[in-house]
Amino acid sequence: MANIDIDKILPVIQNENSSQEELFDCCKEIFYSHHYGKSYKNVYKYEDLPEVLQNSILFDRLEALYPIADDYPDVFMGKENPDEPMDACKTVVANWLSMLHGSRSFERITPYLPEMSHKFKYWLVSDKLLYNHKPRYSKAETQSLLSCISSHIDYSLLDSLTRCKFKEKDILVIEDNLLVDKKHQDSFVLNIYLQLNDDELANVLRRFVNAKTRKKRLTALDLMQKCKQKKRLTDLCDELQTQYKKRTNLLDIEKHLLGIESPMVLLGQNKVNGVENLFLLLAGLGKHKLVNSSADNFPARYSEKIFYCKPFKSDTKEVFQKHALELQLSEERFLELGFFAEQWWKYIDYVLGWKGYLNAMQWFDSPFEMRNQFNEIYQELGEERWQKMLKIDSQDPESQLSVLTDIFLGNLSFDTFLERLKEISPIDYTTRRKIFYYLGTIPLPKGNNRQAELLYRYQCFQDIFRVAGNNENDKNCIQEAILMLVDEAGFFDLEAFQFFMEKEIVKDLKDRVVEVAFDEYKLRLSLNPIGEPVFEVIKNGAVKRSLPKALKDHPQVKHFKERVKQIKKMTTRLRRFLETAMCSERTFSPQILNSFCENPVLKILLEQVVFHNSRLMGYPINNGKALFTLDGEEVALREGEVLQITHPCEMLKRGDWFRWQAECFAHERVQPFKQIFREVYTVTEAEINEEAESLRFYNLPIEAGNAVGLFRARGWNVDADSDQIAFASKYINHYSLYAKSDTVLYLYLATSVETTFENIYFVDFKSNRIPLQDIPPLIFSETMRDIDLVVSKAYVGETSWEQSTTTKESRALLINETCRLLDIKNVKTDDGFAWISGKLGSYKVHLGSGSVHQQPGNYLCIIPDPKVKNTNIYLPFVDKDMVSAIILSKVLLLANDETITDPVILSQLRPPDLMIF
Amino acid sequence: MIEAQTVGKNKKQSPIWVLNLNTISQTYTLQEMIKMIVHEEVTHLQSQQSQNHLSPVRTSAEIEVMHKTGMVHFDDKTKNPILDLDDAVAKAIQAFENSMFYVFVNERQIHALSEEIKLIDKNKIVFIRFVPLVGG
Repeated sequence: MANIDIDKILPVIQNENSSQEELFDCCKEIFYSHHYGKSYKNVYKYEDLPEVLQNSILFDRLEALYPIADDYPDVFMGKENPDEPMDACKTVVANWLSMLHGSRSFERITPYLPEMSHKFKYWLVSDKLLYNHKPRYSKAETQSLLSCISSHIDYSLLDSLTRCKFKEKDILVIEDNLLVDKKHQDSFVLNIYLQLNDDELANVLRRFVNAKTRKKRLTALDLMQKCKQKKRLTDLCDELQTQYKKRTNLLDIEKHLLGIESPMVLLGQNKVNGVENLFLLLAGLGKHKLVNSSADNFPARYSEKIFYCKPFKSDTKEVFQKHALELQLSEERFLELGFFAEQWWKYIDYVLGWKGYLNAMQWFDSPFEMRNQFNEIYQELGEERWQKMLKIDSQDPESQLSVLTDIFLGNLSFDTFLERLKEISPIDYTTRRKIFYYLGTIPLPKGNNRQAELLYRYQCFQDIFRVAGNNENDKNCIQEAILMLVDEAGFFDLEAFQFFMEKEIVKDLKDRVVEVAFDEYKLRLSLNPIGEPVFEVIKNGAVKRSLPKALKDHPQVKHFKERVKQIKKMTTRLRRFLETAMCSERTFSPQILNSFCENPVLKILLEQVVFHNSRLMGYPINNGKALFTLDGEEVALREGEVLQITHPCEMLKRGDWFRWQAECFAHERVQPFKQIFREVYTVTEAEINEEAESLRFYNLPIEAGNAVGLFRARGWNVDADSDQIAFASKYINHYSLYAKSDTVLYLYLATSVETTFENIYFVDFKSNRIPLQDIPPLIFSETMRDIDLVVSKAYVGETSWEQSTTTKESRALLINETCRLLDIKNVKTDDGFAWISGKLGSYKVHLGSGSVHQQPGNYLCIIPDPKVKNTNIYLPFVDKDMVSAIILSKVLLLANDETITDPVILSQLRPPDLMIF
Repeated sequence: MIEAQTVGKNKKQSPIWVLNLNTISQTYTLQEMIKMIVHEEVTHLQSQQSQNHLSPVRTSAEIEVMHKTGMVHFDDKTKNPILDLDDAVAKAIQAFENSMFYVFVNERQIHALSEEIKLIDKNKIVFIRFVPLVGG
């Protein structure tokens, strides 16, 4: 204690008249002294304080301060080590008190135990109780000490108690507080008992085994297990255990502790398999239902084990039945198990003895896939048993099987669900998903109206899909449902199905015209030369310009009008299909082209699109069996030959692009999409010299939100990189390439934000950049075309108020030059403004936006006269653009402000008080 | 020769438009001169769209040139409408009478249509247009 000057401190402490400040100074001196390092917590043992200090009046004075300790944070929390969490003021005082306890009775310190830090509690208690070490307390004193701490027993106290040697009597003092139901403390408690001698321990065991409280009995069982492990009192333990086993209504945990096989044991094991274990688990589950949940309760834990429990190869159905009889399981329980654990089906089948159970379970497992066998399976099992199974299954609120049963029994129709769908909120995703699934499930009728029904459903799905808008859930579900319909209709894939369906829609238009006559009218639905549907009403051989009123509600007219809409949609889709096929370099066999020509609309479109392969290039004719070449020849296609839709890049390469253009123009061909007259982008010299990137659109100002929409519409991904910043990229499937741009885009921003376009580059799947000249020309061209469209539509350069410096500069020059020619002297240009000192005031005109302010600050609204029509005058004017001309006009107007006659300008110009004159 | 002037960033004021006259040192009225220049302007515009106005087809030579600049496109082929020459001249004359633009020839402002302009070897002409303004 060299560093604490006791002689100086003690008098201050002992003097009852010393002030609080003086006392605090002493405390700081004692507890924060350098001897203890940075923090008083580093004190190893409270004995380190001199005894004279421990037994001093300081204890009492601090005790008096304890209730108001929080008022002096600077004293009690002052010099904590910043690395350690701060203790509350009261904790600090309690800790200090524990160090100052000295030879006072233990009761003095017990009130502060709850607030004390663990370390201090431990020091205090272990030091006082380890009397074998350094006897301080008599047995009576120990007991009173224990009774003091009895109600404060917690983790840290238990830890120190286990290190003490107690007699049975000592423990009795704290026993009630020791045996509270806190699992994590059990091992400490057991250790405290285990350090008793054999006789004492035997007493404890006997006492506990017959105790009324469960905790004591369980502790006894626990202790006996430990004893057996340590080979102590084995005979007694055996005897007590045997007695215990005779009790009735043993709990699982008791069985477990007694070493009786119990389901509890299984819960702790990793792999639980085999019939025997299955029945143990079922027994453990008792009356509870099997549940599919991750909750931490017994039914859920047993259910989980049952779910994964698999039969051994050696497990026979007979053994299963034997166990089943023993456990007296109900029929419902087996059905439930069947729905829960597929692996036990054949055993359950054996026990139940239901004919058709296995097949039924197959159907319940995958109703849509098994739909064709439904009737057979249903008949075999019988309605009564089927309903029993449905009843079990309906315990699961997500179950759809009873509805599906009704669907396959023919009790529910497609339209019923369509109606139901209308009533369900668009954001009730779960219910909608179910309904879409049902819609896809309903079997198509057999016989004559199958085709019509198929067409009807396909169109229904298409309609729902179209109105789904941004509802991604609906869209996904409809696609699923359409795929189910495709399967039901027996098609190989969706595309084949789609082409078939579309062919059906226009089947009767093979000759491009359908006519229906009634009364004096003739209705005509036809396809025009560009594949679009046209509906006309003809009366007396003349086409009516407008629909006669009498026909407005005629069903045939309505039908035709509906079909026009339908065919238009189809034509749009087919055009897109052809364009996509060109860009993805898809190949077509002559057979496919031939089958495409069965659709009159597609045939019209196809015949205006150039196809090619290495041998030929031309328009398909003769139902796709030949190509019509530039030289006007019909060249038949060979067996096994494939074609693709020609991108103008290919024509450019072959050097006959000009001729194709001329031919297309001369023959007045209308192509379904931009093919021959498509913009082609090629790699420039400058781009070859760049670092595998194109800076063609570099630094162009674009509106970010707008650009995101445009990118997405063209099939690009715009994904947030971090926070809200996003980058655009497009995956080019057939070359495994990514086109990317480092342009910074923003997602989720409400306001429009300007950004500037950066670069475009291509990477492979390893993120290596690829030189632009190595990118297939078509890919390069199409990518740049996308970018060009995005940039030119999202471009904000022209409309932005912030004009580039060069624009402002050239306008300043224009104004200066004009003023020089006109000898106007009161105009100056500077800093992006024209400054005019007129006779009525001073003005400034912004050279970017053209906005006018009267100095100081008053905004003047002057606009081009809307009554004067803007006529083109073909003279080489000096200004670059109309805005420059407007700005110049404003400047000259204001330079001669005394000549202004327009009352609206004047009223803005003159201060109100001048208006009187 | 007549040069129309523009103002540019580099003070080098290059002509944006040049008209070569057959006869030099001749005198014209402003009206005659406007007529002459409008004629020239319109003919030029129409020659630009000449064969292409009816056909969007790009010739092989055009394709070759555009290819090098990195993009072959079919825009700007039909932007300019067919012009009626007399109508265009009448409109220009009318606009001058309405003070829609000023004319400076060799730094001197011409105020009347009938004013005679003596052209020299190389003439600098400036057309400054104005927009009628009102308060809004």
